[in-house]
Amino acid sequence: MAAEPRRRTLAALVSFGLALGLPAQAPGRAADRAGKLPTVDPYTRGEAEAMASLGVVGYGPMPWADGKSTAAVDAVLGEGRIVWLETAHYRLGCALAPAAMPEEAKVKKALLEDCAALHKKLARVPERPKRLETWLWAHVYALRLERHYAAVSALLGVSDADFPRRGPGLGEGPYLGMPDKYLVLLFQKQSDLSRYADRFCGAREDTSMRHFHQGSNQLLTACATEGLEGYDDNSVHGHVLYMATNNLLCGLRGYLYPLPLWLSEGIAHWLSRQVDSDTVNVQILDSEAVAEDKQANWPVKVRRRAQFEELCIPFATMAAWQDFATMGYHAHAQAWSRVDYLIQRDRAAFAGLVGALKSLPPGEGGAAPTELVRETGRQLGSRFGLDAAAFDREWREWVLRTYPKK
Amino acid sequence: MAPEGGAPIDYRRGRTAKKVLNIDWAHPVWQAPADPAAAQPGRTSAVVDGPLPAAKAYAFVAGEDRRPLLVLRECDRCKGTDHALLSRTLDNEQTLLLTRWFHCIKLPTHVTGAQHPLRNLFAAPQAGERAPHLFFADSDGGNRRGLTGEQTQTELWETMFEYLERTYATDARLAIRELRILLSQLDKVDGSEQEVKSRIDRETEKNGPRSEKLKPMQAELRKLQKERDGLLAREQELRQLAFKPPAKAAAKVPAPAAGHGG
Repeated sequence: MAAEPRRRTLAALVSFGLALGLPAQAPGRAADRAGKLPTVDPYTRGEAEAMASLGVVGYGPMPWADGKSTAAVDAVLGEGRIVWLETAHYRLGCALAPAAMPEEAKVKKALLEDCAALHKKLARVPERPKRLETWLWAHVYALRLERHYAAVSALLGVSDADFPRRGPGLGEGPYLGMPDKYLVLLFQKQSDLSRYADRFCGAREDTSMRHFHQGSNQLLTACATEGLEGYDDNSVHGHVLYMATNNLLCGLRGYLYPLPLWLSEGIAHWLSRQVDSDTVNVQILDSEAVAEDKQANWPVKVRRRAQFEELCIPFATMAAWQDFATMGYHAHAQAWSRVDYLIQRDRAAFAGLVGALKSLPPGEGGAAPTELVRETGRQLGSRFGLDAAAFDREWREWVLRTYPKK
Repeated sequence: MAPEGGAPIDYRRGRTAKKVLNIDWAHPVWQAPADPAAAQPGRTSAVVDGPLPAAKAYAFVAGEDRRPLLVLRECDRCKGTDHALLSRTLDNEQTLLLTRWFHCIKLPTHVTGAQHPLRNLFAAPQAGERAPHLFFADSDGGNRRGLTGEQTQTELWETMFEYLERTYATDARLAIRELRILLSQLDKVDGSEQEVKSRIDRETEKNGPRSEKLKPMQAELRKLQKERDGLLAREQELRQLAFKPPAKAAAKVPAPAAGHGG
């Protein structure tokens, strides 16, 4: 049985850009679009061979979620405003507005690398565009999302071959166990996300959200860059991957229950932080004192606190976390670091740990299995030879030995 | 300088003041009566419905909220959809503060489309005239006044105060004056708080959580937080303008334009 629909609003708003009063450069901020988007992909022109080169398997209108098509979304948000594109594992709706190529070196570098990768697949995609139109944004994010799917699969030690379609239910589908593809919506305007959330999710959200479309068993990642104040494209990229990771982990072996919070958040940070960004996907609690400098430099921040045992969150506490809203900056950073430690120590054992924790029979009413915390301890013992105390001690020693002082 | 195409937010304002200055837009979406096809897994359906009569459209967007309506139509040609309301060159703080006494509704670009359920809200006053970019109205749709989006800030404020004076018994001008002072006080508290928090963080990382130096810093932090709580409480008080009793003979809701929705 499916777990309760899970919607998480992410207050991913730690931004050095904002702190320094820099102008925001989220994708498409330079919006000067008029009229509707071209209905035909200007790069593939709908040609089968070109589509295959870019990993596109279809365009809108196409089935979306809960029995509704993308046409239903267009009817609410406006015709010709969203590029609908389907890849091997995702259906993507992109309404990022056209924008000039960012000037900031690392953001520009990342975008140009992705454009070059697309150009290599299909020469019609410009290798060094001066401007990113909505269709190009869609292809860039399709590339990033599929690359991310592969990275998550590799981390978890699985491949598509491990998930043949065995039936229509959760855990029986080809998308890490989910029966249908993962959904991603990238909006420019908060109003678009707000209307989508209201009409199709029964929710009130206008910045970023994950949602379980229970009618079709699909997990959605959605954000509106207008609300991500101070985010450049690398930050948006990292934020999307952070949410997408959480959805893939939920979907692993069917969304019957989520992984323990410390583990899913730790993995989501571990993967999304591979994008070179100055933002971190956490909410600093009012009760927390965190200096603005080095906020995104987690190795340094975690190491400084690891000098003092009282500042290290014991694993016994961490393993029992259930409430995302109470996780602050240090909780996220230390969860990331615990995952970092386990992955660096034994990647295969880590994949086994995650797989084992997603293979338990669900609790009553779709709740997490009651023995999830205990099972986590057992798995850490059998796969890493760690009990909670040893995990605390060895992780801390490793942090002090491995992470830079400044 | 405001970022290209974005809303002209004053980046000098602190975290709390920015929250106070945020426009609380509602984005109502009319949901057609339940479509049985939509509930069937694997089946698809598109939402098809016609325009609602104006009175019903006003009742839908206003709900139970008695505040006057500020209804903005998005436009893809605008560089940032709030520019019909906010100036790109002038200080928008007063406009932003005034919006709190309005029920702010933002509707999509295609609201003027022939089949959009809320199309009658933006019906042009006369045949051949352009639909307004935004309009003000009483909560029941009466006293509607459209603006082109190219109005001067003075014209906008005059319009806004006109609605506030008709709706509220309390003088919004006095409240605005005090709110602007309060925003500066909030900025000061936010700045001091972040500075103290940074010191606490650095000291904790350097000498640990038992450092004697932390106690006075934490006391300072508590004092600042208390000060901010007091300012926010005052901000809430200032927000609460008393409503006038409903007028006996309110202006009528504009007649609906063509449409068959029900």
